[in-house]
Amino acid sequence: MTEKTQENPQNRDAVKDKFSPIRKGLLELVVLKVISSQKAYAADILQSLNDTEFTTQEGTLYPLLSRLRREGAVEYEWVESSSGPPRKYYRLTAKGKEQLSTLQEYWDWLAETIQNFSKGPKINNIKKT
Amino acid sequence: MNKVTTINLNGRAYQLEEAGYDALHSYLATTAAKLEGNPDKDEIMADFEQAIADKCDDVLHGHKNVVSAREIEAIITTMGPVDATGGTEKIETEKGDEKSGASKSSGQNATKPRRLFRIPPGEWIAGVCNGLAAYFSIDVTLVRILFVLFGLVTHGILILAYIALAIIMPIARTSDDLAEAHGTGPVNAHDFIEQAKTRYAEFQKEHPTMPADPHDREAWGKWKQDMKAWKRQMREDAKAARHEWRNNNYGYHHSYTYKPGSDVKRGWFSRILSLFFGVILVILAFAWIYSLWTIIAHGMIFNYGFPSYHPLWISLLFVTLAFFLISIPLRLMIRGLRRPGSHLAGFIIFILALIGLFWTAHYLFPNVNTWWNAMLTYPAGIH
Repeated sequence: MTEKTQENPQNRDAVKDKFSPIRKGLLELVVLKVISSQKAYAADILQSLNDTEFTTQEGTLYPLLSRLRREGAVEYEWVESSSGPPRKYYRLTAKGKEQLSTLQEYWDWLAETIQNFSKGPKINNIKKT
Repeated sequence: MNKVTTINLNGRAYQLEEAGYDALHSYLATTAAKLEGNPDKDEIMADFEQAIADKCDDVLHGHKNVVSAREIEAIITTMGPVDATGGTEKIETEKGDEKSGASKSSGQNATKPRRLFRIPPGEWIAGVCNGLAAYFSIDVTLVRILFVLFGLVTHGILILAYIALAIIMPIARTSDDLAEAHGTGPVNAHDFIEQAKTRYAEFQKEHPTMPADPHDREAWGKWKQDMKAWKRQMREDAKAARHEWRNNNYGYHHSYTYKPGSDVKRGWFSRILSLFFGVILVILAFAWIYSLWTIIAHGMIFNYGFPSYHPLWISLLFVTLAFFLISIPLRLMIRGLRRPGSHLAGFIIFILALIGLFWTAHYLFPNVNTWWNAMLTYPAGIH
């Protein structure tokens, strides 16, 4: 099925549209994950998101980062750059790591739940056994 | 050839084509307005400026030191609209639909709950009258006249009320505030254009249709008349739209929205000065109305009688002229203080008007004349 959707761009757009609120909701998890691997500045984060389904613009990222910082999930340090002014490099705090794993667990559980639906409704299972 | 504007983005100067500057300016203004209430607003704005600066750096090189309007547009497009909530909002398709549906269906006549704001553009002193006028949807001149009249009746107690109101009422800082103050109306360029479009569509609908028969003279005559009426209506509507636009937005674009980096903050000195001149202006207005009344009632200005051979209308004219001669340059000066650049011109006009006034008074009143002569001879008298 995934092959089908990728072949047909129109179909793919429709699917994309359907999932757009979900992608939006997942953005926090994705951003935390990107930062978790190594400290990054905003353009890096955007760069790593850009080739994926999670393409994001500054207009969305900056407010998100500022909220995460306010919540204490990320912190930043100023790093001198060879070209231009110093840049803010973000990294996860302990709290942010915790938050990331909570979100990740929840997402995994969601995915698993969806997988399990294809095994058929529970009532049927009960009848069979 | 395009005019170039230099802007300051996070401490570095960039040269933009003017159209690009306008686009960037309104983008940043919308962003700032959307971030209103966000505790990190300033920081996010700085991040935005920095990101824009970085993107400008990417297109500048060697001999190319101006960012074109098209490049700015591309930059704005990649930046994308600001998501003020930082991703915390609920999925708000329903809410959004409801909102846009409401504003569409009720259009410009929507009556949202209003709030009393002080509205700085077009203010005389602190924008209280402006805010009251917006709140009650009446002309601001009327509010001012009422204010002055009631002020006279209450022997100036209303001045205290004005000061109290000026302290209590919040200033409308964003276009959203302004919309709340008016309870309606287009607040940004987009809304305005949308409204203009619907208006245009209405005109199109109402456009008189040409008669089918080219020889039916009566029908053509009627069509001509209809056309005339339609054109008149269109002109009036256009005028009303312009007026509304100016009232709603004038000053906001230039002095009240977020300015990239180079924001000229009004210093306390110019604030105090403009407040000072504003108070003088109100006192003058009181004095003017009061003197009109004394002239009619007692035939004199305050306690000074005019020479008897002057007819009443000359006295009224003199007082009115005096008021406007002083008040117009005063208002110019206040405006100059708010929009730096026209200081000096206003001041010079003010001084010239004062000299002119004194000169006319010198002929009208013997008292002034004798005082003037005494002034001239006084230094000589010391010796």
